Amino acid sequence: MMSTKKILIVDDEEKFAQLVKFNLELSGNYEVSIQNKGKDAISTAKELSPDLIFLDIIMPDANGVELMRQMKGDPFFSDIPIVFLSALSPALEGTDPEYPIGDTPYLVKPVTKDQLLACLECQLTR
Amino acid sequence: MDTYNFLQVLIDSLPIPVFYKNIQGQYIGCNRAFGDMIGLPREQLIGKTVYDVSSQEMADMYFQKDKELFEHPGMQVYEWKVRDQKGQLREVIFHKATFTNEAGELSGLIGAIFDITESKKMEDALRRSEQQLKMLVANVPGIIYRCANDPHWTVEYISDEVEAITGYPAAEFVNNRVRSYASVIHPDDQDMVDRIVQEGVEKKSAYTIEYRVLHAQGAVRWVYERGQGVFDDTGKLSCLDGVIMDITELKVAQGELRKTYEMLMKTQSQLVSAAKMEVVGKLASGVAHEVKNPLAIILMGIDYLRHELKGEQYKNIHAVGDDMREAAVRADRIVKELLDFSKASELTLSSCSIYDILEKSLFLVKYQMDKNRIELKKDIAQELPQVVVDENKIIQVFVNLFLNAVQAMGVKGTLTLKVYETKFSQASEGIGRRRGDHFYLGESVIVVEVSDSGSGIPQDVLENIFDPFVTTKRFQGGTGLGLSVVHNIVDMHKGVIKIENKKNRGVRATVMLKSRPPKI
Repeated sequence: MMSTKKILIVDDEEKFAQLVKFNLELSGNYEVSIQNKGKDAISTAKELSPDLIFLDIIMPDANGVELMRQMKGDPFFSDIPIVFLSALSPALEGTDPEYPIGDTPYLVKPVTKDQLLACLECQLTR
Repeated sequence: MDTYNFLQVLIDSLPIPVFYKNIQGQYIGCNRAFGDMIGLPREQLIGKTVYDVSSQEMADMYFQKDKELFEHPGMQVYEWKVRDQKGQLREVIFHKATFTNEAGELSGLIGAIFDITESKKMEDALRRSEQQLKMLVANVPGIIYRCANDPHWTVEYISDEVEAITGYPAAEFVNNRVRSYASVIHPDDQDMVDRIVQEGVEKKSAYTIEYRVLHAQGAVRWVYERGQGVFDDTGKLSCLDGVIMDITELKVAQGELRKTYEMLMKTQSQLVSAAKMEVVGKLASGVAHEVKNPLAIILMGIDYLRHELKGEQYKNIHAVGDDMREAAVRADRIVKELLDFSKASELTLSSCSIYDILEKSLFLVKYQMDKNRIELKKDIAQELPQVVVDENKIIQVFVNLFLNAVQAMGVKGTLTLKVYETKFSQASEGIGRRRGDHFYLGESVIVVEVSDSGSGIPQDVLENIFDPFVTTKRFQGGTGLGLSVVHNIVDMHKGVIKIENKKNRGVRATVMLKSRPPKI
């Protein structure tokens, strides 16, 4: 089995992020950090150098799609997979021409632990 | 009493002035009326001539007339003007005749004077009023008529304006001399005209009709007619009187106006629908976001608890966890459906049982049906194939149709639901709007008929029943959007819907759906 991977969750829903952290850490394969403030997501990520980032879209202080664009434009993030984890489906989110989602992977809340694990496995073993 | 006296009394009793003169022009007698007229008693008149009782000028003329009569003995009648005692000019007619003596020689004349001043006045007044009437009729911007209540509308009088409207002179219509008025009424409107006139006659009230007439040059003109029966003293209809006006220009303008109005309404409805959908969409995605986040916490929490609480002693907790997870998933699905609804232009197709769909739809209107004591009659074929539809949207269709039926019946009534499968054929023609686009001959279709026992829909409403804002329930809060949405949904399924009045009573809505998946 691979070594422990570092995961960053950017989500303003503290309790949700906390439970995701609990569930993922139970598997023993992941070490999960949480950033509840969208605007601090990039600085936190640069400190942590995570192996993958889960990104919420609708947050009070930032738009996840905008954050994704900034990250994708920054060479620092070129090897870090980003996965949206949002309550709204891409069909609804993707309609805003200001914020194209593009081909970024997407999970729709509510998710189960199994879905999260399957997603991580897929993204991290690419 | 001798004859002479008797005759004197006799002529005295006449109200008409009478006099007689000898051949020299001297008065030899008169009656009281004549004496009163010239202001001289008989006794004083005798022996005088007309020169003694009139001005020179008048007397000359009288004398001249008398002379003419004596030259041509017999009768003389002429109109004249005389001044009466009060000096007022009177119009009179002189009737004069000569008489002879026993030897047959001309010996005098007898005259009587008829005062026609009053009747002249009346005649003048009559002539003036006739002229006024003629002027009025000539200036009325329409036809004035008097006709018989018969199949030809046999014309007794019709004003000249008829030529402007029909191209035929008025005289041709009188007594059907060349043509009847009925012959210029558009054939499609003749029955309607007759029906409305007879209704008016029966009620003894005025009738108004709008119909088309055929101009001699082939053009069709719209007219407005207002008329009334004329009844004699015994209450029997003697003729019809009325006016007919050319409203062709008005109709054209009206048509333009209606077109503009319809366009405006369509645009408005599209705007309203779009605005509504936008609101629903915004609302739905807002609600979805706020509901899905807590659901996500619940699901994550359940997963965590399941992991933490392992072992036989936590069996029940695991069962509860499963129930909770299922509930959360269900809540999630409801939110998802709300989102689907907000995107009305998309269908979520699945293979469904038409029986289930109808049961669910009926369940949703059960309260209204029970409340209004509506009886449900079902005539549903067995073993119908599945239909591939968006179940929720088709349920929306039937709920709308059921509610319309219930509302049309008010309290008490029968809602009949008939469902069967058939092959689409030419005999089904007339169903739906764009049937040609949706079904091919011999295609298997499922037909659902919803009938009520209400009072039906007025024809003019029926023609536009699927247009937005057409409603018969404006005052009960109807928006006129229900059937518009229903039509769109059926259309999206490549089905057809038709609404018609039944022959006996009530309304039948027919929905035809494909029993195979529509290719969208």
